[in-house]
Amino acid sequence: MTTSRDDDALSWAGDDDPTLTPPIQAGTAGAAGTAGAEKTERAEAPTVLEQAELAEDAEVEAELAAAEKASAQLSSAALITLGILGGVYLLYTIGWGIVVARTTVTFFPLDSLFLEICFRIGQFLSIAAAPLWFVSTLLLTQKRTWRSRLGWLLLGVFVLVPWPFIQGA
Amino acid sequence: MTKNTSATPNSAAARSTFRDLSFSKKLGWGIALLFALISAIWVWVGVANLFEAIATFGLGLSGVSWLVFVGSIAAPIVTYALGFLVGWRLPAWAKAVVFLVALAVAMVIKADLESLLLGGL
Repeated sequence: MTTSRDDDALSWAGDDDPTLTPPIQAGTAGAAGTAGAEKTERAEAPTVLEQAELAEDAEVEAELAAAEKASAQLSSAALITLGILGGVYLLYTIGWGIVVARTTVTFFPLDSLFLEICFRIGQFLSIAAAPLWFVSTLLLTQKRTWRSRLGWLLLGVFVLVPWPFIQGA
Repeated sequence: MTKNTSATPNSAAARSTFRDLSFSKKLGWGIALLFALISAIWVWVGVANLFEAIATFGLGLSGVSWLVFVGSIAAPIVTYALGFLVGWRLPAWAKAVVFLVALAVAMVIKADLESLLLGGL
C-alpha cells in the first residue's frame, strides 16, 4: 500500500471491496482488473460521478437562490410607494379626462374629417397616457432594479402633469 | 418632412445588412417604421397648422404662439427619438409599447402647449 497515515484517516476500511464500486465504474474496474494501489488512489480523489453530483448540487442551489431572489416580495415601503404613485397616476387620468370633456374651443379649426380623427385620437391618447406609462413601466422594468423602476415612475409623474386642468381649476 | 429626412440615414445603414437580421429584429424595424409614419402624421398636421396661422395672421405671431406651433411640431419628433433610444435593446413587442407611450406623451405635451394659449382666452 502506498497510502500514508494521513490518507488513512480519509478512507474507510473496506473501501477496496470491489462490490462497493458504483455500477458505472464496476465495468471498467472489472475489465481492467488493475492493482490495488491504483484503486485506493481513485477512491480518495473525488470520482467523476462525485464531481458530477457536486456540480449538479451547486447548480440546483444556484437555481434555487435565483428563483428565491426573483420571487422575493416587495418590501412594505416599496408597496406603499407603488400605491401612492398609482393613486397619482389615477388622479392624472381623471384630470386629463376632465380637460378633454370640457374642451369646447379647439386651438386649430377641424376642417376635414381627417383632422377631426387626428384630434380625437390625440385626445384619447392624452387621457390614456398616464395609465399607459404606469402599466408599461411596471411591465418593462420587471427585471430591473427597484431604483430604476421608481425613477421611471417619478419621471412620468413630472411629464404627465395635467397642466390644462391645473390652469383651469 | 423633417422626420423623413432624419429617418433616412438610419434605414439606409440598416438596409445593407437587413436580409441578415433575424425575424424579430425585422419586426422591430417594422414597428419603428410604423410609428415613424404615425408620428409623421402629427408633424404634418402641426406644419399645416403653422402655415395656416401664418397665412391668416402673417409673421407677426406672438412669442408664445411661436412656442406653441414649433413645440407642437417638435413634440412627436422628440418623443419618437427618445422612444427609439429607450426601446433600442428591447424586444419587438416592448418597442411597440414604448413607441405607443411616446406618442401619448407627445399628445400630452401638445395639449399642455395649446393650453398656454387657450387658457389665456
